[in-house]
Amino acid sequence: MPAPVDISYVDGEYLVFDIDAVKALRNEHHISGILVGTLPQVPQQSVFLGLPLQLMPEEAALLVHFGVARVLDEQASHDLILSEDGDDSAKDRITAAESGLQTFVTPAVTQPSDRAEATLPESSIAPILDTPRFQVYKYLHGKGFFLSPGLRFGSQFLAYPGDPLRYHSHYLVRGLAWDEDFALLDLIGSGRLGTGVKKAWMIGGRVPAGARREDYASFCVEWAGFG
Amino acid sequence: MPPKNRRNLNALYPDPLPVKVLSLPPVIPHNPVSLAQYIYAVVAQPVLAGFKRPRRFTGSLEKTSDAVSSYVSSIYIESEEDMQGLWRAGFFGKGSQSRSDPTWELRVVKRLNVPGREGMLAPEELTARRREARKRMKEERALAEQATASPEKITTVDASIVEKTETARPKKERAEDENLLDGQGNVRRLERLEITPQEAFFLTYALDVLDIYDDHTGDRISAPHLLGLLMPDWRPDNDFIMKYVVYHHYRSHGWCIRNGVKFGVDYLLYRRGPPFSHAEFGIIILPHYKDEARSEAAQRREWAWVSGVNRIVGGVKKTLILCYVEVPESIDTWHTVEELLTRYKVREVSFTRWLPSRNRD
Repeated sequence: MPAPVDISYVDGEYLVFDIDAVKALRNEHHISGILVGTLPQVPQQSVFLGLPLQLMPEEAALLVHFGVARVLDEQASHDLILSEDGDDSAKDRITAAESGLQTFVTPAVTQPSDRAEATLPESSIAPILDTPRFQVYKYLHGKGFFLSPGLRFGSQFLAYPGDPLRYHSHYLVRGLAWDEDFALLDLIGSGRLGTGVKKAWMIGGRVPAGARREDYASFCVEWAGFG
Repeated sequence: MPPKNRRNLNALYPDPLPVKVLSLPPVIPHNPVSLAQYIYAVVAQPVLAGFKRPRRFTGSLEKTSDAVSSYVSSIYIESEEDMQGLWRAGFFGKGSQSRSDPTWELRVVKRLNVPGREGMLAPEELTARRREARKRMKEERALAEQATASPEKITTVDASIVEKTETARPKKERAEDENLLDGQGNVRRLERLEITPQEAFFLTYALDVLDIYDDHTGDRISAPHLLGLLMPDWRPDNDFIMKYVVYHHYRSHGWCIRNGVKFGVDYLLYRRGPPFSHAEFGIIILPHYKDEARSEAAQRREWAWVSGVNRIVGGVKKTLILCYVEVPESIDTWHTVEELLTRYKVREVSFTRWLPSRNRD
């Protein structure tokens, strides 16, 4: 079994800094994430960005859930390094850097280093696992879809039948609790929006134990355009 | 530039509301002639109009009962003149068999070629003709583009298009067609104009031009009685009163306001009405309470929701208006409907997406 992918947890965001891990996530695990890093040497950065890769909480939770990744708490790791810093060499380096005497070039690809690490326990992702968002994410991911954030289209996720670089998305996805209410206006609006951009609006919910044969139920809404 | 048929539309829909108003000239105190003109207008206009009382319309109200209670399930207009009258002056209601104005009968007459009613054109047919013309225009344009690109291919393409346009479509017959005519060969009256509770109350209370009768007992329903039927729970944030406050607000400011359900919003605002121009604004109603925590809970939405609604509304070139209705704490004691309505206040926030690359000018 390959070494787990390191996900850095920084200020509430899940980030991946290792280019090989990014490739592996995309190719083997159908998780594309979003590149959010700006490259200092490249002036046009509006379309393609660089490392790090930002993962949605659901993506990070799924990877940890399947034992593919572990989450590093960068804040705690930082404190750990400083506390083990017997001869104050790390602190000296930081002071020197802050005073502007030394300049660093941000590396485009970071190398994993031998350093003290504080891993977040698996229980830290437990609250995510219970959300309807995560359940619909897991359901569609299990069917081979790539998912990306759906904010642009007013939904939770966009579902792509393959790599988002090769395909348009097919569904605007919204995960709901099994008996959760939603406004009828949202049904009409989202259905209209989905059909307008050649997608279908999909809602899904985890079936309570024993209520139906399948354990996840999903529906699509499209505007038929009568008349 | 106004559309070509604007003059035609002005003649078809002269009144913004189903009431007649006197147009009075201004009175200038130091100019006695203006006073004379004023008096002349007050006296002469009703005389010239033949002392006609304002036109009244008749509606019906249908109640449905379930195990718990009985509620108003539909308010509708049945007579053809009243249907057309309310549509033409203010664009109230929706034809039960049509997309908006009640044209079902016209369409059936046309489709079945009912004798004596030829030569009429329903708006839907006008739209169909316009689309057909646009399609032909596009085909010709594509042809012209192809001709400039590869002159030798033009003859083959030309032939295929001529063939396509010449095949006449077979006249569609429908299973229900024979049931649509009565014994004398007239089209049966199956369409009625459905009006929303807000429209019904506005026409009954604010304009006082509509008489509503209970379609079961035949009793006339007065405006306060209608209000009681439409908001039985009498909560200050009752769905009916919240929507009515907004409806009344925009009608008072001269807008033509219609239901916005097809765009996922509460209301749409038209400058004059659907035939004149597309709606310019989409309205979402949000309650605002005295209690901050309650307001926060009632108004809270996900960003995805705002983004989605704004995309739908923005995609059809409308502006999203968030309409905050301040809800009074209690509406238990009031003497007139007017007094009740003045306790509600409306505030608006316009919401547009700003893109640095597109909004540079």
